[in-house]
Amino acid sequence: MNTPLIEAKSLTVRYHYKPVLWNIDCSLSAGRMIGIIGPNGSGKTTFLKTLMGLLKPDSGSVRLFGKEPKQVLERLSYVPQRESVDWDFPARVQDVVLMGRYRRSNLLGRLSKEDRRLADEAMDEVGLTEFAKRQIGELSGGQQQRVFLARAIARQPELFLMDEPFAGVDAATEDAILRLLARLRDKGRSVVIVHHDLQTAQRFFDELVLLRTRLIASGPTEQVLTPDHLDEAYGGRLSVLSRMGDLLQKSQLDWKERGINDSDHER
Amino acid sequence: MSTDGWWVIGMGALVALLCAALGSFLYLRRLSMLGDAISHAVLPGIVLAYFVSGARESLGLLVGAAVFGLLVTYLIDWLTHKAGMQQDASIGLSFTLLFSLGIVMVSLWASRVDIDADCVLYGDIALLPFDTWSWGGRPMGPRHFAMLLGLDVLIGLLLWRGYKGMQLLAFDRVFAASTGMAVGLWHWLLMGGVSLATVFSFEAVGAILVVAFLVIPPAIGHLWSFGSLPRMLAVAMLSGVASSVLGYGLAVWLDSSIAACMSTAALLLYGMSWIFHPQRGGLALLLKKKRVPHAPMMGRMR
Repeated sequence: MNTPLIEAKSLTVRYHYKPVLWNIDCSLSAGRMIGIIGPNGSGKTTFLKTLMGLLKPDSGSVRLFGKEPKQVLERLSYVPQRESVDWDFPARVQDVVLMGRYRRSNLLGRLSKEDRRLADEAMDEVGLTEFAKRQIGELSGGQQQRVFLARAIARQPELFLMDEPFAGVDAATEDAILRLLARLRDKGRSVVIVHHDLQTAQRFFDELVLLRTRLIASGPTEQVLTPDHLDEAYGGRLSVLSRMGDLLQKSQLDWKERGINDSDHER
Repeated sequence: MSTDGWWVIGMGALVALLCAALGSFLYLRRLSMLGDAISHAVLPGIVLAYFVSGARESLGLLVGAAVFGLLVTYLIDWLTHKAGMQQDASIGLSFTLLFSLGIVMVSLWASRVDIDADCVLYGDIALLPFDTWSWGGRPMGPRHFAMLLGLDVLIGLLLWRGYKGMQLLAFDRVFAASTGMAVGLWHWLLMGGVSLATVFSFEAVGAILVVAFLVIPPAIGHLWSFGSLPRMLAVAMLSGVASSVLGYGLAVWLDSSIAACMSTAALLLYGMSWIFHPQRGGLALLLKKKRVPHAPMMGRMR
């Protein structure tokens, strides 16, 4: 039997005594694009950080590749929110991408030729090769997001953990990133993305985890995005229920419009 | 110039190198005020070290005094994260607490401790060349110079070997942790370095002026880094050394406090380097305004 990629068992995480995640049970399998969705403050980012072992569960457990998160950090890449770092930091694009090759074993030593080759490849994959020597502060928001993605790819992970990678990114970049992630998935990598836009969630992801401190639902996208689940997650705050039909229809339209625009925006 | 003058410049330069390199990482992590806090909070440690050892500073006790730097770092952390105080307020509370404790100790033990309030603020760099040591009968120059040199080498090694770790910690702490890097340990290494630097620089430039060396050269380095951390470090260290040379000259010319003149020189250097900076500089801004009124936002948006 396959070991699940992610397995949470009655996982509870508190912050200042207040539960942020409460009694989560779920099991997710590898090789998928998985979205973690839910309203603001529903514990999405906390869930991601717990998966990496950066936050300790107060009770219950979480397993990655069937092991303690701390034991398998080499097999995952984390892509933080773009706003979480200072882009005025003195670094060029290639410096940041090379950080993807830092690991415990070489932190005090030198990077190898292989490390540099993998970083170059990663920059190529996200279309940043011509920007390699550019100061990161001079890049647009979409380019900065691609720098983070390249850094993650350079680590050659089996699992990508991404926190809101599409926040403040234009539609063309969003689609470019999505296509790249889909390619990675097709090569057998797993992608877990914290995402807040319901409208796009249903077409991005194979599977969803819908959170509101508790687990509302997890599983294949169409089984999670039901009016009942959404009502439970968002309450009356978004009139999601009544607009659900509209949303689905509109997002299909968007998809088509973007398909046309893609060729204009790329390069 | 007398040999003593060169020793003073040399010690100033060693302090500047040390503080510029460590201060650069504080600057990038927006922790410059923590450097300020540490530089004040080590005072009780230093007074204790003098009290125990008599008049003479001893290496072991000074290292012990640096523990107070880590103590204040921990206290600030605790107040911010456990007691729910705003970080700037907890910095203010913690270091003034320890600094005033140190001042009280200075005045209580005035007879047994060979430092006074003036020394605490400005240091006594002009007196240091007279406290010499010898090895195997050969005179080796001022004791303090040797101690600073040793610490410079130690911190230099730490930052050289640990460059990647310090860089990653400064740029993206959470990503660093996600790679399995022991971010806590690296953080304490940096803070330990700053504490040691402060304690060792204390006699030369005093509590307040250590801050000038921790902040101003890194600010110059950041201004002229152009996307390169090694360049930022190099520029910071160079301008630190330049400040101590210029500052000594200034002090001789004005017959004023050497330490104060060194940090004034650093500020002058910062002003100059800002005015002549090609993009962010005052001159460039002035010229740009005249040439292109209402320049439209271009280039960055794609």
